[in-house]
Amino acid sequence: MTLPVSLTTFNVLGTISLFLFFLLIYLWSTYNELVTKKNRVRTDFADIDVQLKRRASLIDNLVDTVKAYAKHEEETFENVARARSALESSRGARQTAEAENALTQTLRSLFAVVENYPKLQASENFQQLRTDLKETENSIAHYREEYNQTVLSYNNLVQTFPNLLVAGLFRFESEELFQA
Amino acid sequence: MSTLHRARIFFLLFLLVFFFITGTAVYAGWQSGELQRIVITPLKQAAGNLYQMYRESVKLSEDFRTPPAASPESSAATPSSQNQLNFQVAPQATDAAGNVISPNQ
Repeated sequence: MTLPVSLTTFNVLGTISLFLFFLLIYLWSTYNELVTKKNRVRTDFADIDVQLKRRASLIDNLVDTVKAYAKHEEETFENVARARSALESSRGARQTAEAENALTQTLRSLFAVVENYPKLQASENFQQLRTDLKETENSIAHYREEYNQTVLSYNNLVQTFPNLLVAGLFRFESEELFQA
Repeated sequence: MSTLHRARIFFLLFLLVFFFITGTAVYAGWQSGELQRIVITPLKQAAGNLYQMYRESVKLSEDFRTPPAASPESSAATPSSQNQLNFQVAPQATDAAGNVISPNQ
């Protein structure tokens, strides 16, 4: 049986070269897409982080305001401070989400304390802080949604065939969702 | 090793291998004359054909744009009898049976 094309050096090397060319184009575009999406995930997480820091700062001010009225609620203040420092030292989406949830819980107990002080509730400073806190929480929810969408898109790229081979080659790993 | 560092080394090596193999293929093809036969000659022919087509299209568009030379007949009120739409066909010569006699016969 004879081949339709003779196996000369030029034919063999030319075919390998063409194959390598298409492989290079594929690897190139997939790698760039992975890097772009990974950076998008990082940027979106940084957006959440900015809002979380703003929230922590507002909580600090809120605790100071409450302290002026309710000096005997040391335990609640300590819990809030602990949760706040845990949030500051957290790394990654899962750890940050856990710390954020813990802070939300302690904040609830703080507001429960405030219920016992009508003068504090009526104060303008407290009301302003509460409004700012609510706005920041809405922002966090918005950025969290954006972040989760970006992570979904990135994870789909990393986990689907044949991109998972390229992702494995360059050690791109799946990212965690920010779950409330 | 970070992702960026791995990618840098990988793509550098890949490009080196790719250029080496491509260079070897071109050299082998050039030496054996296959490159001339399979790649260069067909490309030259295709380029020549394209150029010819371009020349023809330019010539056609020039012919279309150039107005016909003014003649006394073209400005006459009645159309010329030499107008291509009205040209007269000379009667063809036939033999007794009615068959057309060609001029070469």
